[in-house]
Amino acid sequence: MRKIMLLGTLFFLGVVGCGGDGKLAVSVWGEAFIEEKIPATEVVDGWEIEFTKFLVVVGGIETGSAAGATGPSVAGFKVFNLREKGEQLLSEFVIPSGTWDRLAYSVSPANAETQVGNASAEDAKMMKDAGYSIYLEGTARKDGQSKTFAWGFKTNTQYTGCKSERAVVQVGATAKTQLTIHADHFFYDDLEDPDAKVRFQTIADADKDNDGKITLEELAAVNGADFAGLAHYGVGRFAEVKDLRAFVEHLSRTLGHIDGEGHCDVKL
Amino acid sequence: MRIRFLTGMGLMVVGLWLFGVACGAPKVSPITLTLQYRPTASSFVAASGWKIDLEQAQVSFQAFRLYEGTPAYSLRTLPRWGLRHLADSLVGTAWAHPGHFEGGSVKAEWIAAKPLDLLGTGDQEVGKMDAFTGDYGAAEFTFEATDLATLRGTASKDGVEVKFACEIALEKRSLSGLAFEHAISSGEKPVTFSVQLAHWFELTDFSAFSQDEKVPSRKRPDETQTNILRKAVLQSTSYSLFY
Repeated sequence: MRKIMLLGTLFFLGVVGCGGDGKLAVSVWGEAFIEEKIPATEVVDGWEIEFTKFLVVVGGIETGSAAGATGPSVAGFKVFNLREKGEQLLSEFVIPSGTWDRLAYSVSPANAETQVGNASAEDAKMMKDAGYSIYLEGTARKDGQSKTFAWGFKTNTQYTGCKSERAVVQVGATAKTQLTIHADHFFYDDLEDPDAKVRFQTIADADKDNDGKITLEELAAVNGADFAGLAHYGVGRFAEVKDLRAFVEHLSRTLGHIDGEGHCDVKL
Repeated sequence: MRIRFLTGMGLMVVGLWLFGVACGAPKVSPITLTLQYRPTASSFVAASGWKIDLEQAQVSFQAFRLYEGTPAYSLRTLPRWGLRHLADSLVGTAWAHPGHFEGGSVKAEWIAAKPLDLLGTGDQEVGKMDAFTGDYGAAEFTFEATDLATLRGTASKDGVEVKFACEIALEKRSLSGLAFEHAISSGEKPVTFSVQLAHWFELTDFSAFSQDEKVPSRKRPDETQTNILRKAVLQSTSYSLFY
């Protein structure tokens, strides 16, 4: 009986996690939507959207578990160009073995301390000089029309409670988890509707000088009754969003996910 | 001897944990909460400068719920992997959707049965909510595409008078995350809400309304004005909560 109790105790201790350390590798990925394009089939009004540059400043990793454990944090930030193919490694660090299924990370404005991930030195300097957290350039096309955009945002967003399915660390092994950036969110047509669609025509129509370049200033000019009168673009409880630029900027704070479709909360 | 001590400690820890789980949580009791509506003025000047006198104001919605949590926000992704999302929905995973918040458990609920008359005087009972005692954090109105806002009245500005009638089809939407941070220990006090009717008309331009073919004495909103009104009805700043 004593042996059974002893074995039971040792088994319990082993399962709970006195087993030692492993590593967690955290990467960033922008999916095919950034690396290739958002195809017309994904956009309700038939535009296709291709990014030529998608810079994002990511870092501030915090680890935790649904059971309430708190793990190590990694404070630094790096700037990545997610247009480049493949997952980009943000950080790899030692962590106690176990399930780390509640992670947090931030997308924050670049500053002097921001390190360069896979972005070019020139792009990294531009992000630091402007204090951008996100910068995207691209072209949307439909029926021979073409509209370009080059937008920078200085939003500071912490994604918390990210429900990782992959951050299960074994002793002596490296688990991999992925901070997934969903670029299609930039073009959602509602801040509240669970059936929000990816839409571009309204954005294209904002190009009032018809020079083929949609600027943030042109988006801001779609305001007041012009904005409220749009068939889509509901704001629900975000009443402070009163123009199309603010709408897109709000959406820039919803890009962060984990392990593909895993969700995070955003404290606004 | 040492091993026996450790085993005994382990059992004690487990026992204490079980005790804590069973006994540490605050007691929660089922209660009935009254939901009531507090009318606001039926005559007002909207931010657009139009003076509005309402003869009729009704809105329908599907449900009103109170949650224990406070608002957080995240957007879902489109169902690129439909089966996975379907599986998630089948097991009831609380994925966040646009505007939905992971506010924890529903603690009080009222399922609407009829359109609500927004005019009148004095607080009026809307219904009874099945509820629980405890801390509350947020409220949510749920609308369906079959819901309507019906508005009739007269708008006047700069000598122009417009008799109008609107029937605004609403959208399937949960207007969630409305702040409602209260500790409720009994069903004695009602939960009260108001609709800021002046806010509904904040951006409405009645000069863009056109003659109603069926009812020539009235003007109706065009598509743009309908969108403006619909968005105002479906905006959280149009609603106030009291306890």
